[in-house]
Amino acid sequence: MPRLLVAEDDADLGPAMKRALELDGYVVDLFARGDDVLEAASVNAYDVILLDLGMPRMGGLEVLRQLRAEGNATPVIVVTAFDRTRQRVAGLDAGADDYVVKPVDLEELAARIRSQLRRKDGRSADSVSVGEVTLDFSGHVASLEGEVVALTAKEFRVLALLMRRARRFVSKADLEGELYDQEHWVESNTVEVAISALRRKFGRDFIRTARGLGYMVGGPHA
Amino acid sequence: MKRSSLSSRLYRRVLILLALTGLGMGAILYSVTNREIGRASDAQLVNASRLLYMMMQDELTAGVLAARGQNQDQAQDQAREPQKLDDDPLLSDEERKAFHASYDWCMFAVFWEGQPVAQSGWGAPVSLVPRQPGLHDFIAVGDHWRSYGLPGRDPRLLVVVAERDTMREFSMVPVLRKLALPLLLLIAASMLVLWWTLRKSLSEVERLASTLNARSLADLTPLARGDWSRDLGPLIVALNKLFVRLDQAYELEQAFTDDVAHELRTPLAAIRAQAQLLRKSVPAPQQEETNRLLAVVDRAGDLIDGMLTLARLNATAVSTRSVDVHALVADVVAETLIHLPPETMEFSVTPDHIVRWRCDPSSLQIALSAVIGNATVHARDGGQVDIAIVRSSDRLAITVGDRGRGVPPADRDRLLRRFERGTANEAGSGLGLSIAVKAMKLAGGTVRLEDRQDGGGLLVVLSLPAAIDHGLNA
Repeated sequence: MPRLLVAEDDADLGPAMKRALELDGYVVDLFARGDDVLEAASVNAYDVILLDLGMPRMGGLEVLRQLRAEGNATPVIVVTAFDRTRQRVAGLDAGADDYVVKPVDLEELAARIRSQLRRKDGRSADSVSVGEVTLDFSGHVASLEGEVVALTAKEFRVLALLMRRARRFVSKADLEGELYDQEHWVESNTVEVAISALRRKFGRDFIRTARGLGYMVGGPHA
Repeated sequence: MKRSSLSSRLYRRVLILLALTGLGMGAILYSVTNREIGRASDAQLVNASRLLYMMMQDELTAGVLAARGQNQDQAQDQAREPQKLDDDPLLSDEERKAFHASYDWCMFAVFWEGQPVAQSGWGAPVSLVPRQPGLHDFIAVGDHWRSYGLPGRDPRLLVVVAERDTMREFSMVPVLRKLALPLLLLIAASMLVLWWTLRKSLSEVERLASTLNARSLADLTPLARGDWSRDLGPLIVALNKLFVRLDQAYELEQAFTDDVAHELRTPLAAIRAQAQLLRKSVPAPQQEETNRLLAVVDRAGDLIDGMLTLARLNATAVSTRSVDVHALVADVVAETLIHLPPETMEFSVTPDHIVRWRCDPSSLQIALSAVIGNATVHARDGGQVDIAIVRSSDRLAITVGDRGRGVPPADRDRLLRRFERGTANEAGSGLGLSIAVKAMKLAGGTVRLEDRQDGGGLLVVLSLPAAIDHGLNA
């Protein structure tokens, strides 16, 4: 049973998060002070840490830096009210694996925790996950909810580019360019064929499209 | 009133000063020259009288006048009528010629015991010539005259030499005529040199202006004192103080909005979490109520986000640069699409390639997010958002068209203001379009609401003029 550390000083939010995550089947330790978080993280092995940045005594960023300085590689999701770009960048630079702005949807938070757990579960560093889909570049393997999905070389290349640029649009021209490197000749509908095949294999909603922009993968918690 | 440039005002003033100085110096020079010429002319009159006296020495020694003095009446008759040169007992014909050879502009008269005994035979009538020693002015035959009376060794003798004043007057006209061309060249050259010197001296100010222009408005680092001349020192110090004050104001504003964000979002997050927990535990019929509670919480969250965005726009520094507007639109659409349930709305963007425009990307992105977000809230039923980027030579327009119910013309202005919603029970914070208006204003643009021409729906037009690079031009 995965064990989570929730660092949140708000007397209402902390217990509510703890309860919601426990209902999802996690073992949850709740702490309200930064120094307590550091101590607990050094004693217990947590699977994921949910960290508020605005804690008393020791701020979340300082806790995160110290954790990483001590060699603790536990995935950390920052859950904070601070939403400026430079604050996000500072959080990710300090070693956070994800950054969520309050008020967060508990289901979205659960999905993000699952994503971190999957990432933690013995996959190579050379892989990327978007939602329930994982792509292992070194093994050339794609999987959906842990189940391997067979892909053609073209499909793999298209999916790889989309996943590397998750949450952003990739133009059809860029996708054709990716295939051209391999093929030297790309039929006009090659990309559409590959996208159609990928949608069949991973779900229609996995790849989203907008006319004039291209294709995109990723949801609110991917 | 448009004020002229510092350099041209300074230039005009220095020119006026130079002209006044030149005129003053000319006047002084003219007066000094006239005085010196007068003095030299007087000296010449003295010399002329001495020469005449010396020429008469032989006759005087011979006692010619003493003899004539005994016949006063005769002498008087001779003075009244022009004397025959040959008959002059004092000056021979040769002596007269010799005198006139040297002083042809001088008339003379010789008096013995106040009576004329010899005269040059031209010029002022001898009766008007002053019969006193020394320098005198008098008027005769319509002219001003200057005379010098030299008393002889015998005090009964007085030699008077006179000349017209016009002979001694110094005229500027011929001098000016000769000097005209060189003077004009000199004046033109001086004006050029003066202008060049002024521009060179004021180039520091221009350098300061271009240095400030080249900065982004977010760059509030102090100017290095050492890089500027001492004359600009006080200005640099004042500018640096202003930068510090602005920087502190930005910091304070940011700290305040960060505090507000934390203090408002955290309890809201707690309410949301509790509501979600409640939804899991209550029986199905009550779940609808918790869903409504969650919707209210989300609207409060949107409101806080909107208020924070508006507050932050107050402290936003605009930084204009070349922006790929197509990529910016793509990012905003991606972020919107990510948070929408699948199959809710379709998006299209034209054209499908890079469109570059000089603008502030941050404020444009905020405006675009607000408008597209507004379309997803108020026109979700229409299921479609069409975005067009239209670039002309002096303007960029981004149109966002939805397939919702549209907005009647009477309500359009009202909708662009804060906390105004289409209808009372609609979702949304009522801030979206006012955020767009404020962000576009910051970027130097405007927001307009129109009807879609291709079927029903609202068309929001974000319009940006060509950016003018005047540095502090936000």
